Formats: sequence, structure tokens, C-alpha cells
Amino acid sequence: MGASSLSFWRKVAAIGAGLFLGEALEAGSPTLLHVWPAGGQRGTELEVICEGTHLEDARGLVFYDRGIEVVSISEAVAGRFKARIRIAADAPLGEQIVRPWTATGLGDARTFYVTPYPLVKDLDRGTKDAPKKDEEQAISLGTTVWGTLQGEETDRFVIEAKKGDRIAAEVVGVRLQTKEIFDAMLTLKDAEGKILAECDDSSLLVQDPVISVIAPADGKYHLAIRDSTNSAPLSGRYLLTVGKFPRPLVVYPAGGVSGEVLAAKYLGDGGGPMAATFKLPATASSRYGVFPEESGQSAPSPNWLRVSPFANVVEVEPNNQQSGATPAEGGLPVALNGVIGVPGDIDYFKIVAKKGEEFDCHVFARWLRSPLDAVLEIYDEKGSRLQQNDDSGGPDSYLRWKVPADGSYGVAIRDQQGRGGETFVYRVEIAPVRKEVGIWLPEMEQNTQDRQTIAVPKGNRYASMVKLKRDGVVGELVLTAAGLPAGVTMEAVGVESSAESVAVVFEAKGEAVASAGTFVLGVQSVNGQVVESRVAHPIELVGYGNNQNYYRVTADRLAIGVTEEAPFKIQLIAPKVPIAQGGSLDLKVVAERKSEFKGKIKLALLSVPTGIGTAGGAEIKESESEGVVALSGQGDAPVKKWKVIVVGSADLGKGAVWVSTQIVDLEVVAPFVGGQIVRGVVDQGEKTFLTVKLSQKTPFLGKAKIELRGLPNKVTAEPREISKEDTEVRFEIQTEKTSPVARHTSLFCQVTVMQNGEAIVQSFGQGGILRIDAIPVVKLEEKK
Amino acid sequence: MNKGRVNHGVGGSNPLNGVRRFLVVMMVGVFGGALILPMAGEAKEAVRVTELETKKPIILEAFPSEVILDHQRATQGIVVRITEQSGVHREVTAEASLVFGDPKKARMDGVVAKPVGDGETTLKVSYRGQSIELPVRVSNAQVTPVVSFRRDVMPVFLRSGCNSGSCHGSARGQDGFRLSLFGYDPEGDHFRLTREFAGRRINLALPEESMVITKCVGEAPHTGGKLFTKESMSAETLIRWLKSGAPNDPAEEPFCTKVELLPKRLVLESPGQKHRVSVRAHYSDGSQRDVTGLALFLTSNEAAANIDKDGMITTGQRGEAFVMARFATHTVVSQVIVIPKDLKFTWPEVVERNFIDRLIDAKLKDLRITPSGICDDATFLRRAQIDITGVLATGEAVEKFCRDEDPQKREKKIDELLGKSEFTDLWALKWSELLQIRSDQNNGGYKATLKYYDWLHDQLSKNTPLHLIASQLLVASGSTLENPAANYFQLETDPLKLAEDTAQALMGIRIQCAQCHNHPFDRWTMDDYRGFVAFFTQVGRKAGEDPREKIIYDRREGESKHPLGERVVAPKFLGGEVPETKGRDRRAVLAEWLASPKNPYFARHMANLIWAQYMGRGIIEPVDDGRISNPASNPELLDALAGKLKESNYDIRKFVREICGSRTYQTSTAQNETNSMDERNFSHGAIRRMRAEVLLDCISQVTETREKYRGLAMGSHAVEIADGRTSNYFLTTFGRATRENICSRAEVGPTLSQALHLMNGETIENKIASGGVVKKLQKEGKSPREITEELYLRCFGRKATEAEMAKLESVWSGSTTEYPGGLADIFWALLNAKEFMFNH
Repeated sequence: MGASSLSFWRKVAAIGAGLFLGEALEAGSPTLLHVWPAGGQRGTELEVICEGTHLEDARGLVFYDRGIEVVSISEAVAGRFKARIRIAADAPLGEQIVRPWTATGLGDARTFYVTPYPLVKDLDRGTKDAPKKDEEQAISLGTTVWGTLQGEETDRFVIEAKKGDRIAAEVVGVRLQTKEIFDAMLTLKDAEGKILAECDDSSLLVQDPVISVIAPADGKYHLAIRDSTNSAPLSGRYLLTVGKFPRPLVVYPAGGVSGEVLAAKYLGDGGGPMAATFKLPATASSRYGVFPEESGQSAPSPNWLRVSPFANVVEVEPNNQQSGATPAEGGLPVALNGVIGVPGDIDYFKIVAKKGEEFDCHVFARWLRSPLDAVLEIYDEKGSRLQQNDDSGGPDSYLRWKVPADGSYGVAIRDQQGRGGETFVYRVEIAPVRKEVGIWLPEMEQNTQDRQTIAVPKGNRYASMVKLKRDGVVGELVLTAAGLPAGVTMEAVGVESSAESVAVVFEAKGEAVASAGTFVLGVQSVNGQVVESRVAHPIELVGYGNNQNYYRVTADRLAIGVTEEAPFKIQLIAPKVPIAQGGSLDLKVVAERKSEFKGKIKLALLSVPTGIGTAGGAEIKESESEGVVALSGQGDAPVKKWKVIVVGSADLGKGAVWVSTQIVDLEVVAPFVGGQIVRGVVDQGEKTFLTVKLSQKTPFLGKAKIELRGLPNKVTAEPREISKEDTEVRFEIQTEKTSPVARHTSLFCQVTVMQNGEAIVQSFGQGGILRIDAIPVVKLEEKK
Repeated sequence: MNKGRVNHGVGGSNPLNGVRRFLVVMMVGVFGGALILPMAGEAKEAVRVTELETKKPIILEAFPSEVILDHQRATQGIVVRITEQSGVHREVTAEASLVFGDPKKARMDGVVAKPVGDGETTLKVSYRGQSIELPVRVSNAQVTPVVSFRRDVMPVFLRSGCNSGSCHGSARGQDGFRLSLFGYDPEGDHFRLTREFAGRRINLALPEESMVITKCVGEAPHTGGKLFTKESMSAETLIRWLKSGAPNDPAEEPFCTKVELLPKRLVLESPGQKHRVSVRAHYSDGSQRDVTGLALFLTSNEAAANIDKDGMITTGQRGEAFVMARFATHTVVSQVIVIPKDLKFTWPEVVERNFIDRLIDAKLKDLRITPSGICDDATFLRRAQIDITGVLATGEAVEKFCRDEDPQKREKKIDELLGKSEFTDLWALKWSELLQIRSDQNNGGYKATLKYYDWLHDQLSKNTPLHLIASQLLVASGSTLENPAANYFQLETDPLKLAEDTAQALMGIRIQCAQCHNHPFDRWTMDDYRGFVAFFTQVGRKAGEDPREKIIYDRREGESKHPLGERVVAPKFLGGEVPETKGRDRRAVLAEWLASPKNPYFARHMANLIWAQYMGRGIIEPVDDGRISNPASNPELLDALAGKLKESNYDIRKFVREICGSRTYQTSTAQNETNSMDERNFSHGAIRRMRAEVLLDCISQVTETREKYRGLAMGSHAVEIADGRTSNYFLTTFGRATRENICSRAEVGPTLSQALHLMNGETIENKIASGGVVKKLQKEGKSPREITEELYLRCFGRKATEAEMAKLESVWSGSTTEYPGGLADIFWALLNAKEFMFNH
């Protein structure tokens, strides 16, 4: 793999000397727009093109799920590279996450789809031998087409089917686009041109279409795909899978008990309901995909189930009233299953609970791609509504319920819009209150995936913020990591009860091997107890408008890579003194540069403590080895100890490379002195005394220097010294004949206390007033 | 002229040289001052002129039709009029004899009846041998009523203009004193008069010395000047009120429910004829009252009929006016037709094809206007093509139609055009404007917009009755992508605006004014406004899974509150009842009413809207401003049209067939001596510029070129554009509606940039070149004369006259296949001619 350390440094030197030879230079912060084709048949090898930026030193692809490996990388240039990949015959079908990795970083996550069917490219209409506008492409049932569309263009396919064959088709379209939306729409017509099925949006595939019909006769069928608004983006990419496979929309009941066998039905397929049994996994699963299959043809994407540790109850109609509620005989916790079968349907269940118990009541409908827009209600025995929720669990309902008294209760569920139908399946889980911590990496740059991975240069450090969402978990926590690459360690600081994020530092040994993969962060309590946690890292794939998200996937792992050495390391010099409220402090950062690297290093605090301000633009200048991050404390900054990290970045010409310092303590203390400047008046050219009333706050040793700052031009005051006993200090104000006549209101005092050989600087008395008059009106008497 | 000729060899690739072009234009006659159209000729029908009926009997009438006097101070002015043989009305109150059957019950004081004693009697009105009797009822003849603040004092402020926006009714008041605008807040007005500055504005000890009196009668300096004399009824009312202690009204004080202005219709002679009107108010306790002396009078046309503050009309020049009386929150109108004195008018025998012609003619007879004749076949075809389909007929079709001798050919053509999909496109465009269909990042972007438009187009294509389209919109719930009609509640989310837009778009009523004060020129009060808003306050909206999607639902909570005191106002139909809405989606209740016969507005508005589309002007104009003070020019016709629309179950195609089949629609634009000034009564055809989309489509059509619009295939029509935000330079210049507010009708007058764009811009120049029509015709071996003929048929829908041909011959001679300049110039000039751009 790739360049040796030596050649790397040669290239860096070339940048320094301005010798851009046009060959691939070291880059950082790679991005990825798409992998194309965005899918492949299992049991095959294929070449995919990855397009993005800073990809010239591409090394490979990280697939989040098993079964796909990279055979080789070729033709890497800044904007793209080719990867030959091998998909195992037993690779899981459906969507998985993939990222590129390069010698210097990890790129954006995108999705890749494993299909059971051979891939066929759509007819390329852009070339000389392109087919005519309305020419159809013949495909067989059992094909995945990878194609592109633009504007109002329509791709047309012709399929041979026998009477009774199922013709099923589904698209990955919207979900593949990264910037603009390509909103695919499918139309299936018979030989006479009669529309058999048309689908724009589906509940199963977000807004991608899915159709499933039984062929009414032997013959040709015409399938067309276009953008539903006739305005596909410049290159609207899609994967269209057509086959005889079953394409139900939901499973009912939509979940079962972990480790058990579930007898269920697939609903929503053109051929009608299909019975199915599932051996559910032994561990509970938030969402478990099952692939309907018939005569050896499997759907390319799954239907979804919940796997839970508690019993299933299935509704018995009629239960449209509380009096006819389906009872949950086995008590709580329980999973209630049903279908809002017709418009206006409402399903009641009866549960028994004890006073003081607390439950999370969660509807799983849209989560499992049911079209139901659930409303969940809890009633007491008399039929008075106690609680109601519409959308707290996303479009699904969620509420936390504390049982007010021993007794039986009604649980009702309906569609918010009064709709209903065969596929309006739901599952309500009434479960003990969850105690769990969710973990992910925050968005650092709006609407990008920038720095949402851990890319640690060999022999260097990389720091990241980690976000935590506590659900019923209290107390101080510590982050733990599992599955780090060899030679990489993580240093984490304790997470206070109130904190929603924490900084961590990863360090890679010099001899660590460049690689990329995934790992998992967890938490434990400070005394080592295990706390339930899960990585739930959102990956925004398709945006809409300003900051709206159209399609996102959630990764249960985080990406990490060991990258080639960076041309610099940075170290934070631990300050020997605290920062005072209303004071300032300079954090000193020292850089260790490879001799060839002269460039500027940008510095910033990874996370700025509450009440502390930093000026932007901190840096270590070109060829220099020291820089400062200037901090200023607000008057009300909390008095406490913080852990701080400075991150440094340098743009080596093609994207930034990021490293960090070690973790350092920073203490915020109360100020030594406070006080007020007594208003002063002086005539031009005269002298006066300005009194400052002191209020001593924190005793200090010896003398402290006090200066009057913010004086107008041509006005001076000599610094004075104070001790911890002083209650006031007087400054002699000297003016000139031309000192500006005005009411100057920007005076303040700055106090410098020396501690451990370093200065603690604080200020007070902001807004002090000195009036300078042009002509003597009243002779100012000295204050006593 | 020859100096202007340019050698095409020199002219190079652009044969359309400016100088030459101008000369061609002069020949085609483009830039004439008025649009004088040689083709606007009338069909040569023999009309038999007959004498106007002159044997009408003299009718004697008195207003009001009964006299009710219910307290000691009650009065009732009497107006007596006759209808002369000529149809002219004349007031004869002074000459008539007015005698009570029982003088112990009531007496006449001049033209005013006053009470004497309780009981019933009659008033005998006699004039030149004719007489009528009015019932008279007198009660409480000895009882002096208490002065009511709302009933007696407030009207003084309205009539004298005290509470108008420019005086004390301004939001900040005037000179330190504020009254509620047009009196929407009597409670507040009473407070400000009596308590705001105790002892300043009123003086109960010396009522005549109160500032409110001295200022009004001019005894104290007053920015507003002297408003009335101390002896006037207004001053007397105020003083009586002050003498009684300036009381506020008890909570149950009767309020005014209805006002009548009598007589409702007058035909008077010009100039200088006088006629009084009488205003009567009805109260919630059943009582009535002569408020002629308290009402505020206005006229819509001072030149024709002026009205003074006492309700005396004086005629001016020939014309038509609506006189209005405003009292309390009500405005009422009467129609006044003014005809020249001793006019010799004979009504020609004209064709009456249907009820439309009958009602139009009735009005024209009143106005002594002779309608223009029927337009010729070519003109009819072009007019109907543009109006009904937005597409021109081909040259071949024009010739075929003109040759056709079937007497039913016009009816058949109308039916044929109504069956075309372009008819749906045009109406989908019109409705899209009405509903302001336009994309916006916040309302679901282009997809939601397209779905909304497609839904609308589908409804119109299926000929869904219009009232059902409207009610489907109002009840729409669910996903804006799955049920596109729900976008109605997403394009506008403010309940106030939704109510305003619904009233304006679906009923032609503007209630905006009543948000802050009672409408000054209409009947709408703040209560009406908030009551109508209450139908929209419970509309819930939530995000769908798709960011472009919103879910519209019934929140079942949320109230409309009156700005005075924040009291909750229950849902109330405009001009209708307070319905029961408990347990129901309020919008569904509204939708039922809107589409039902109980709603007096929807059918009339739709009828007027459709009428305006084909006649160039509404019977109420602007079509969406149906206030009382902007009455229909022919209310009987509007009612009949509304009735016809309802009768056809709101079938737009049947209704349009009725309009286009009328003689009125097919009337020539050529005017005669009697109708040249008439713009309101459809006595001649209207000359209308094609709307922007249609104009561009027609230019593309005749030049055989194609345009590309967002989301539409190459060559689609501009009228098919779904989104108000999709436009191009041409469409914007010619006034394509942006649909950003309810009023953005595509009504842009001719502008310089339009003219310049057509002459020098890319559209016509490029389209003539890229379409290659002239070249194609030349390749077909047609002679320049034949090509010119074809171009005339294409653009004007008629053949060129011999005179035109003779002039154009000099232009085309010399043109070749390679440089088809002369013919292209002719083509260019035709497209720049008013005759092309206008529908006539």
C-alpha cells in the first residue's frame, strides 16, 4: 500500500518549494459524493467508481457490514478512484454503509446496496449510438438496473412475463442523491398501454417507489422510470430491481420475542398475504430485517420487525371500544400488535398495572415502515383519557407513563388522519423505562460529514468531541472504546452528570499500521460499573432546503483510521495559573515540525468551556514553533476545573490535516479584587486624581500591580500597587492641553497577580468615566 | 419609400432591417392610434327597427310601503313617484295629496308623517286621479323615548364624518380625541367621550356648553370645522343625550339588523332632475325607523347622479350610478339610470339567443343603447379559439369554417372547443391563480406544487362540479403529497389570511377591512370577520416524514378571538347563521355551506368569474370585489347566470356553452353612436389583449416553434405551467401572475417593454428564424401571394384584403428562398400588429 514515509516527506517538501508537479500529492479530509454503481450482485466481483475530493491517495473502502472486500484500488486522482470489490455469496442483502479511506483521512459515508440479481446498465443516451428517445430496453425478471436520468427524461424497459407471474419492482433513487432530490416514479403498463401500477412514493422505501402486480396474461410489459416532477437533477442516479420476488410492504405481527419462532404474515404484496415463520435472533433488536422469498427469488430489500424480550399480544376485533378491549393477559411489559384495518378504526387493549410503576410506551409503526400515523392514548378504567401522544417518537407516538393507581387501563391506538388499511400495522411496546446512553460524533461543519470520523496520524494525536444522550442514566461516566486498531489508545475524561458532550483524544504509536475500520464507544460509571449504551451515529445522506434532512442512516459503529504521519505535532503547555472571572489567560501551544514543513498551523480549542471566550484566528505562524490561544473569562464564568484540548490543522494544499494536543487542566477562579471607578472630571492640561474603590474578593500574596486602562488619547496614569488589605487606590491623571474634550466612558482597571512565576490577569470596573472639560467651570476639589 | 428598400445581399443573415421593417409595418397598419380592425365587420343581417313600446301605464308608488310611528318623536318621510310612459321616474311628493284616514292617529308635516295618537289608520296618496293607500301604525304616541347612545348618538358621528379615518377615527385619534373607526367600538367611544378626561368633553351641568357640542356647531375652534348647526337634528340629539345624563346603553339595547334604501331603482332624465330617497332601519327588537336624516349618502358616479347629505339625487349627464346610504354597519345601494331628456330612441329588433341576451337587452333598453351587430365568422372563430382553448385556428380551419353553411356551425364549434384538453389547461391556469399555486421551500417546494396543480387539472378535466372542487379544497386533510388539495392550507397558514383568501377566491368578497374595523363600504363587521376566521383556527399542520410534506389535520381546538376584549367568536358563515360545529371539523361545516344553496355568494361569484373570462369584464368588476358599494352592473343577469350554473350542477362546460352561444358573446367590437361610451353593459364586443401565456403559445404556434418550461416536455404550452414561480422573460414582461397574493390577477396594461420586446427582443425575431415557416411554404412551391395569404390566416384568422395585398406586393417582390426577407418582414409585422395580439 502506497507511499513510504520517505516519499511522503519528499512530497511535503515539494509543496514547500512550490513545486506542484501535477502528480498526486498528500491530501487530507477526503470527501465522497457517491459510489457508482451503488450496488452489486452478491457472489460477484465488480468495479465501482468513487467520486469526491482529495481522493488522490485513496487506499480503500470501509464497508460497515460483512461480506464485501476491496480487491484493488486504481486510477486514483483528486476527484475519483476505482475500486474492484468482491461481494461474498452470503453477503447480507440490502443497504450498507461505506466510506473511502485515504493515506491521510476517512471520507464521507454513503450507502451501497447488495442485490441478489445481476446488474445491467441502462442504455446510455448520451453517446452517438444512443437509442432513440422512446426506445425501450429489454430486461428479464430478475435484474437490477443501474441508470441515470436527467430533467424530464424517462427510461423505458420491456419485460416478458407469463400469466400469473408476479412483476415486482423497487427503486433506490431519492436515497442515493446527495444534493438535489431525484424523486423516482415507476409506471407499469401492459402490452396495450393500460396502466397496471403506478407509484411515486411508498411508505416502505421512504419516497422511493415500489410496485407489485400479478401479470394478467402472457406477454410484454412496459416499465418506465422518471422523476415525478419531470425535473431530475443533472445526473439522477437510480438502482431499479425488477423480478418475480414477493414485495410485501409490512409484516404482521410486526415483531416477536427474541429467540422464539414467530408465525406471521407478509401483507401488501400484489399476490395477497403470505404466511411466513421467522426464527428470531436471541438478542433483542431495535429493527430486524427479513427478506421475503418465493421460488428462489428474494426481495432485494427487507421488511422490518421488532425483536423484544417480552410477550406478544395480538388484537382481537371488534375492539373499537374500551369495553371490547383486547386484554394483555400476561401482564406488563408487553408488546401489543394490531392493524388499523379500515378508515376510522380504533384499537383498544386492556392492561393491568400497579401504582407507581413507570413505563415507556412506544408505538412502532413508521419505524417499521407501516403507513400508520399513530396516536397513542391511555385511558383509566372509567374511560377518562390520562395521556395522549401523536409524534414524540418521530412520526410514531411515544409517551412515558407513571401508573397513578392499581387497576386496569385502556390503551388505544388510531391513525391521526383517520386513515386505515391492510398494511396499517403497528406494535405498541409497554416496557420498563429505558436506561441507556446514546453515543455519536457531532456535526462539526454544518451540512457536511467533515471530521465525523477518527483519523489519527501515526505517532500523533487526534481529538474529537463525543455527544451523549442520557436516557434515565445519572452520575459521572467514563467513555470506553472497543475495537480500536492496534497501536491506538484513547484518553477520555469523566463526563459530568449534566454534560451532553465530552472531548476524547486518540493517540497512535509511530509504528501503528495505516488502516481503517470501525469501532464502538461505550460508557461505564466512574467506579467501573457497566452502563447500557449504544452508538447511534446519524449520517445525513440527502439534505433538503436549508438544514432539513431528507434521508439519513444511523450507524451503530464509528469509523476510525490510522493515517500516514502528519508533518507536525502540537503540545499544549499546561498553564501554572488559573484564569480568573473577568480575567484573561494565554494558552501556549508548541509545535514540533518536520523540518520540511513550514506552513501555518491553525489552532482552536476543541471545546470552549462555559463562560470562557476565545478570539478566532489563533495560529502558529509560518516557520514558527509557538502560538497562543488567548482566553478571556466572563465575569460569571463558572468557578470550576475544566479539561481542555487544542486542535491544530494545516492545509497541505489539498484539504486539512488535523491533530491535537494532549488534555490539559484549566481552572477558573473567582477574581482577587473587584470595585468601582469613581467618576472624575478634569480640565484640559490639568491634573486630577481618580479614586478606585476596591472590594477584596480572594486574598493574594504580596503586591499586585493595578493599572488604569481604557484612558483616552493624551491622558496617562501611572500604574499602582495594591495589597490584599487596600480598600481604595488613587491614580494620578495627567492630561495635556489637547487631550480630547468629552465624557470618556471606557475606563477599567487591570490587576496582575503573580503566582508560580506566571501572571494572573483580571480586570474590573468597566465603564469608568472621566470627563475632560475645555474651560474650567468649577475647580475640581480633591476627594478625600 | 424606395429609399428604405435594402438589398438583402447586403443585409446579410438578418434580413429584418429596422427601416424596412418599419415600412412594412406601416403598410400592415400596425401602429394606428385606435385599434381599427377591418375584420371587425358585422355580419350583414337585416334588422327591422320597431318603435319602442310607448303605451306603458303611469304607475304611482309611495315609499316606504307602510308607515310605522312608535314613539312621540318618531317621523317618517314619504316619497311619492310616478313612472312615466317612457319609463322615466319622477318624484311627485310635493304635488301629490297625502291624507290620513284618521287624523287623530297621525298628521303630515310637509312630506313627513308624525304621530298624533295610538292606533291604526291609512295614508291615502293621490296624484292626478290615481291613488294608493299605505297602512299606518302608531304606538306610544305620547311617550318620549330615551336617547340611546348606539342608536341615536353614534349615527351622528358617522354621518358627520367624526369617526372617519382622516378624523377622530384614525388609530391615534385627532387633536387628542379618538373615536373607533366607523364606530366599531361603541363601548370605547362612550368611555372616551364621558370618562377619559372627566369634565372636558361633556358638561352635564350645561350640556350646550359641552366641548362636543361647541366644536361641532362651530362655537369653538375645531380642526374639522363646523359640522352642523345648533338647531340641527344632530345637535339636538347630542344635547338631549347630554341632558339625560350622557348614559350608556343597557346591555340588551336593540341593534340595527337591516337597512333599506328606497326606491331601489330609478330611471331619471338628464340633466337637473331631482328625486329624493328614503332610508329605513330595522332593529333586532322588530322596530323600524326612518333614518334618512341620520344616514350617510354616497354616489358611485357624481357626473351622472349626485346625492346630497339629505338624500336628494340630482342628475347630471347620461350614464348610470349607484347611490349608497350608510347607516350603522350597513351600506345599501340603489341604481340610478340617467338618460338624455326627450331622447328619440328606437330599439332595433335584435336576435335573442338565450336568457343572457334577454337580460342584457332589458338593461340596454333602459339605457337607450343599441347593441352592436353580430361579428362575422372569421372573427367569431378566432375569438372562440382564443377564449376557449388559447390556441389559434390553422389557416385551413379558418377557411373551412367560413365556407361551412351549416347554420349551427358556431354552436358546433363551441362544443368542439369545449371538448379539447386546452380548455382544461386554461381553466387549470385560472384556478391556479385563484388558489395562488406556487412553489416555495416552506410549502413543499415544486413537488407539492405540481401535485396540487395536477389534482386541480384532473378535477377540471373530469368536469368535477365547481362547488365540489371548492368543498374538496376546504375539507382537505392528510398529507399534502398524498392528498394534494390539502396544500390549500399549506400555501397560506395564517387563519386570518386563509379566511380572507377563501372569501375572496371562492365568494368574491373582500373582508380584509373588517379585521380591524367594521367595513366602511360593505356589510362586514368585525364579528363577521372573526366568525369566519373561526372556521380556520383549528387547522393543524405537522411535518411529514418527507421534508416536502405537511400533514393537515383537525386540531379540534383553537378559537378566533375578537380584538376588543379577546372574547371568543363562534364560527359564523359570512352573511349567514352560526352553525353547530361541536364534534365536527369546522372546515367540513363551512364546505357544506359553501357548496349549498344557502350560500348566496359562491354561485354568483363563479358565474361572474367565468363570465369575465369570456366577456373581458365581470358583471361585478373587479370580479373579486363584490361589495355592496360595487354592485353588479346587471344584477338580474348575474342572478340568472348563477341560477343557470346551479341548475347545471356547476358544470363549467355547459355554462361556457351558454355564454359563448349567446348573441352577447358574439357581438362585434365595432361600436355605434349609442354604445361607444358603454363599458359596463356588454353592448359591444370587448377588445382584449391575449394573456401572457396564451400570447406566447400563439406566437409559438404560428411560427411553429417550441418552448421548454420546467417540468414540462419540450413544446408544451405556457398555459400548462404548474408553478407560479416558473416564468420567463416574455411571460413576466406580459404580466404572468406571480400568484403571491390573492389579487395578483394577470392584468398588466400595455407597457413600453412589451412593445420593445416584441419589436426588438428575441422572441419574435428568433421564432421567425428558427421556425422556418416562410422557407417551408416556399419549398412547397407557394407564391409570395399565397404565402402572404397563409400568414394572414395564421396570424389574424382572416384573409388579407385586396388593399392590403396591393400594398404588400412591393414588400415581397424580390425575396428569394435564400433570403426570404420580404415575406419574413411581413410575418414579423403581422405578429407585431395589434390585430394579432388582441382578441377582438
